[in-house]
Amino acid sequence: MANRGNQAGTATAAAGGAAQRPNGATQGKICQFKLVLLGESAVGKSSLVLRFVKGQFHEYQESTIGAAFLTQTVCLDDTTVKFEIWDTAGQERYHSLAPMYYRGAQAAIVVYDITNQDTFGRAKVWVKELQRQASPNIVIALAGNKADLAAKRAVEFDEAKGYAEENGLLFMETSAKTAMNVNDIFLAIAKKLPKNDGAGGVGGSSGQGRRLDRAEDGNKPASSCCK
Amino acid sequence: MDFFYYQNWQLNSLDSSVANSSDSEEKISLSNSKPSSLPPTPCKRIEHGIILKQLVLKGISSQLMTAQVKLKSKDATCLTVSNWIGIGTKNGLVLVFDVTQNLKWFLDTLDSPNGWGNAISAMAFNCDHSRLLVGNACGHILEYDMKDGKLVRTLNDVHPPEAAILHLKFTDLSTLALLCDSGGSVFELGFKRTLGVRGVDTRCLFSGSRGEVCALEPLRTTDQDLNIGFDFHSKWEPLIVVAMATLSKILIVQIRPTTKVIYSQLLSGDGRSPPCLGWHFVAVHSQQRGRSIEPVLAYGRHNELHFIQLSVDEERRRLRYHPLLRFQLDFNLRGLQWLDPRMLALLDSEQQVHVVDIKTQESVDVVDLSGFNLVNSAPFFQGLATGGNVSEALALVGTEACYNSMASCAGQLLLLCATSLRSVGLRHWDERLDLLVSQARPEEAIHLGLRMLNGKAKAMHGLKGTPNQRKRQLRDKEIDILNAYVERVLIPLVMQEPSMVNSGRNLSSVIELCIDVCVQLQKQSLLFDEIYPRISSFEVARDCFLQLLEPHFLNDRLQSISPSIMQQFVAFYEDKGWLEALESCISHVDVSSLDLHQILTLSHNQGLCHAYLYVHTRALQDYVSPLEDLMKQLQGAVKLGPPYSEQDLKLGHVILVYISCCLAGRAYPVGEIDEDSRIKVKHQVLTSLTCLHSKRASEDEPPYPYLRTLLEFNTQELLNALSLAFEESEFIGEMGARRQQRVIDILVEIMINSSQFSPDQICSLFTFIARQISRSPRHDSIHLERGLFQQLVDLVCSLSSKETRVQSRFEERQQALLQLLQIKGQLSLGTEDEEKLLEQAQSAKFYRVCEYIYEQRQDWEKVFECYIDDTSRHGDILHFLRNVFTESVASNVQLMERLILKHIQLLVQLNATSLAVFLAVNKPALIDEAVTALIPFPHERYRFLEAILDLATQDIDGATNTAVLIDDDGHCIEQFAELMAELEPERLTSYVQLADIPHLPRLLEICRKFAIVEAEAAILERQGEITAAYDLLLGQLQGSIKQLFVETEGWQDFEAASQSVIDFCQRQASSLTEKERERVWLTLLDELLLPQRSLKGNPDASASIISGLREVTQKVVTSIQGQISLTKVLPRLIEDPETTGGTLGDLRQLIMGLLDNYTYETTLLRISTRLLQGDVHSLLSQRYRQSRKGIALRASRCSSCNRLLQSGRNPSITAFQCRHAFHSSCLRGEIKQCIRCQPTPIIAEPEQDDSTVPNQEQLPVPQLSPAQLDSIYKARIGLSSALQNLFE
Repeated sequence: MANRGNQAGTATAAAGGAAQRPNGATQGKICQFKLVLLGESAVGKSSLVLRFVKGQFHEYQESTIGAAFLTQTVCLDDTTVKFEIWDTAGQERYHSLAPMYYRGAQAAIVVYDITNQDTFGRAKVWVKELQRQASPNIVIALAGNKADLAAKRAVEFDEAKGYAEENGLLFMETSAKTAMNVNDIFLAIAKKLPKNDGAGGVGGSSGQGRRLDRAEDGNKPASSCCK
Repeated sequence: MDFFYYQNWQLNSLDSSVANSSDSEEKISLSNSKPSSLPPTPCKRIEHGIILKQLVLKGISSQLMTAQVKLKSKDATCLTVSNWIGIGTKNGLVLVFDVTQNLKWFLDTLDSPNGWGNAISAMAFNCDHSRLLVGNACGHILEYDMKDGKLVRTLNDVHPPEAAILHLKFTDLSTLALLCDSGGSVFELGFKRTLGVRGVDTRCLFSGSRGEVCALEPLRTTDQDLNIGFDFHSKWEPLIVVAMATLSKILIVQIRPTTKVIYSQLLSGDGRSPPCLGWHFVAVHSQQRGRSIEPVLAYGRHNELHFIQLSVDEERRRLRYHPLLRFQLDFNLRGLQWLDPRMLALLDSEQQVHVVDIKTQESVDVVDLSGFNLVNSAPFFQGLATGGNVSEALALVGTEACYNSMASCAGQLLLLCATSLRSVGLRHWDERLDLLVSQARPEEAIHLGLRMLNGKAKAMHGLKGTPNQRKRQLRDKEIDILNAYVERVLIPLVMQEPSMVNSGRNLSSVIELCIDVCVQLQKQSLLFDEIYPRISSFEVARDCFLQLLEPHFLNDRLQSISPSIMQQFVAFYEDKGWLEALESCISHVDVSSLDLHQILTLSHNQGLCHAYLYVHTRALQDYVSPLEDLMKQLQGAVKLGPPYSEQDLKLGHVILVYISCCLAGRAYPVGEIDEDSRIKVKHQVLTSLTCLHSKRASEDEPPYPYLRTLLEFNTQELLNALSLAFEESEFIGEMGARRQQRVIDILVEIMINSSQFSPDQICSLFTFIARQISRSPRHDSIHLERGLFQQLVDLVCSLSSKETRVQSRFEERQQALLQLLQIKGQLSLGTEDEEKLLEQAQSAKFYRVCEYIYEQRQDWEKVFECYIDDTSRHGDILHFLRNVFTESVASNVQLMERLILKHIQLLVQLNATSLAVFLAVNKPALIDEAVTALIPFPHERYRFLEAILDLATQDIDGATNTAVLIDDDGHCIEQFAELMAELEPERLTSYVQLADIPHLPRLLEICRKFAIVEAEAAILERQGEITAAYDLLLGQLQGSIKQLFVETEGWQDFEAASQSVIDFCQRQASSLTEKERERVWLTLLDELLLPQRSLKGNPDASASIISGLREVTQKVVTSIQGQISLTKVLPRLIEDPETTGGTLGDLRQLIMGLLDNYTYETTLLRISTRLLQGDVHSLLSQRYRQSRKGIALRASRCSSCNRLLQSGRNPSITAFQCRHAFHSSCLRGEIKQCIRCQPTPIIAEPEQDDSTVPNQEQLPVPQLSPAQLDSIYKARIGLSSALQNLFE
């Protein structure tokens, strides 16, 4: 009974059921990555994160003021990837704060709203800024959110796909509402992130994720069941 | 590509002597040229410039003219070029010129015997230029020595007489030449000298009788560049290869050391277009050999051009060919010459010369020569001098031929006109540029120069040296052009000289071009030291110039520039107020180019914090004082309180990003801080940030002014910035923990002891601290006073219970609290505290927190309830339960069972199927209890039972067996059916149709109980009680009809009821006897007719009811067809006066339907009979045909027993079409197929006296039994009688 918490804790990912880890003792390494969400306001950054972290969706989400910090763990083969997610505010006036989050990040998701062409344009600006100013080996993913509103689509899938291919970005159309592709995009990022522990160690300032000490992790009863 | 340049030929140098005239010539030719002669798109010309130049070789041309007057020579007819230029004339004179265009020899063939004086038709120099062969239109050949101009040989009888010489060619050997005459034959001439007497051997290489050769081109290594190398010569020298084109074919023939055809290919085309050939050595890249130089033959005819490469197999001395490429031309080919390995000059039938780049297959330039009288070889091909004794085809090809009036040398094409010699050549690269400049198109020249520099220009000719040398040459030239451009265009334009102003040029585009070129050439000294000073005194030009620098700053191509210009740039932008653009430019420029004082003053005054920080950090390596300055500004803004202006907001954000960058060791705004100063910077910035008082602080300044200001400005973001910084190595370890502790202590002091922070902000602080504590390695390095901690938790919980609008914020807090709780030792909460925390968490809806506490207490009941309460975790309940069931002790399991029963309704609502699976796998015994517990909730119970029962059919996780066991007595099905009858009665009928037989009696009871007639009937039907079922359905129909009269809404019931009766009848038709069938249908019909009868008398009866009934009646009658005899039905319909309305008219439709049906079925019958008969007939004829053919047996032995077929007395033999034969006795019984291969058999009974192979056969009867035929006929008779009855 005593080890129950531990076992339950190793199972991961949100209710959508991405990589479920079998019960039993943990093995493999743990990588920790900083991930930042960028994009115009009201494209659904917070909704994406909440869907990923909590499996929830709220139709009316208040706009984020000041970046929020959330974590979620996913399992990938024998590696446990812990995402430290910075969900930034989308409003124009907070844009000047974004460098604080993306300059140290290993991954970024640039979100746009498929029903709004302007947000796609803005997403391109973000991608450009990331390519110029963020760490050179940052993994960038482009997410066309609100895919459930395909009837009101303003950005064609092929257009965005082509743009993503040109710029070497991961690309998916997601829907925080229906959970479509939400876990998948995070998993795809996790797959693409370098998991060798060569660089930096703990506190490495750029590029690489931190690899946690195994002993340290052992002390820590993991969070809870299925999360 | 050095080897493209020919040895000592310097035609170019000699052109200079006639430069003036050629220039004018050129212009004329340009202006004369038709528009159609231009390349398709004008832009092409701009891209490449004018590549070709066309000249008249003045020296030679004038001497040709003079010779006509003085020496009575006539028009030129033929040309050959080597070290000399030889020109033959119509009256048999030969003029030989040297490279300086001086007449060297004047050879009069009239002097020779054999009546010379005919037109010279072909000439050739040998490889060391010492001999000249001259052939004429009558077929005579002379050889001259070029050292003294004397006749050496007169070649007689080397080829059939009376045939003009079309081609004369020397090979690499001085003693071997080739000739081609107008008979189309090719001869090889071997020169020899025996005992001082010169002679010649001749051999026919190709006879014109096998196809007339009209073009001939030997491969000559000596024509090519000499620098190729020794290997090359040793490889190719022993080989003599010649390409020949007949009227229909192309051949490559090796003639030394042995004669062999290497390649031959059909070459079709318009009969008028002459085939063209040309060899050149080209550098070829191949995968096996790498880069090598190999001969390539270009050949073409009409509008096709092919390239074929030869290579020598070194070991076996064999030649191989490799087709390289082919392309289509958009003109008709007339002549072909290589200019260099990448360029071909092609003459078309319009007399235009196209220069084609082989790699891109693109025509780079075209010169029109249609105005000049190009010499052609037609008279010789047509054999005019010999009386026209040539074939028509050769004469036709000859009309366009100009083989002997084109030659190429030193990258130039020489073309012979009647009285002049012209050359078309590629311009040198610099000439092309100069030409554009001289044509007043300097912009194009500059662009072309840039293209040349970038290696994008085509047809680059005349550029020598290593790549670096070439680049330098191009660069120097480009700079020269640019200087001239500045001088002639820019400066006059700036000076507003009218000529330039009116030239349509735009000042800004001119300046832009200059800047662009200088930046691309990295020639900033020119730009800033020469160009700029000259235009800076003109305001418009200067502004324009400065403005056009901006894009180059932004894309980092102009990082260091002279400070004085930068100064002016900054001043200009400041003046214009383009501060944002200025700021972004500054951060791209190297600090050494900046006037620091100017920038600092400006940025301070204008609030350009980016620029301010950039200059300070990069130039002065000062990271603290700019922060202090900016903080002072922010303090001022914060003092006034929110809302902040855009300016202040930006300032605050810049500070936050700056702090975060500095603490993380990153430079602002991009890059990294130097390794050696990084630690110092981090430390300084942190110290400055956490200082107790600022420098030169006023008396009343509160402690920790900077952190306080930032907290007031934006608590959340400051904490985020610190949180990011705390991941750095400086904050890890013992020292790091102390630093963290200090910062946290300060934050707590500022925020808790001040009333100006909202609970929300303090909440953020708590989240921050919690996160830091949980993150630190041993979780004990950061201390927090217990009371304070409690205070913070209280606050978080109470705030979160009130305000849950921002979900991510809420989740952030929950995660932080949870993480904190998970750290052992840090929070050894007393029971009281824990209770309190629980209560708070409950009210704040921090279910995960509650869950965690309960989990620690092992209070599974409560944990379960947390799951129930937290809607976002409902999906995980079963997972949780499974864990408890598999891992936990019995008492806990019992507890869980109780809880499951307690929350069973919710669980079923969430996911009945998974719950069923879960219970079936883990606790089957609980299912019954669950069902019982669900009694108050019929809907949930229904769904649960359905899920349980579904398990029996779909195997999920091996739960099937359990499910079957649970329901062994069928009570579940019973309950389920009962609930279905209650909640979803329309599903019941289909359900009972599929239910297991043993459950039927009980289901029947349920149906009776809930009076669901259809389901009841379905059960009865399945139980075989047809009559009872029918009566039931009929009863329902009666009921519904009655209902119709009472209320008009009963339509649907009625229709459904009638439909189910009809379906039933049709379904059961096959299992009923004919009598029963009749009864069933007729009672149904009566049932429908009866109400109509009664309605008839009732005038009030609604018309809709009558028509509805009729419709259904019609439907019944249609369904009856084929089921019972119509003779029984029709009378009933006709007899019933009410239905018919007393007239036949009402019945008409009914009868029409019957008739249609009848027609249809008779047609069907007729067609199927015809098909059957056709099959029988074809089978019969096939068999008949087969029977008339003999069968040759494979062996004379039985294929079964292997004994002789004719052994024994009177053997009966069976032979099959597969040619196997058997003793009939070996085939037991009536076997109709060969037992060896089973094809169609032929069974034969041999006549007794006939020992040959039997050829009779038995025909099987076609596969249609008499019974079948019988039934078809019966059906037919039945139909016709029915019809008769109808009309009687």
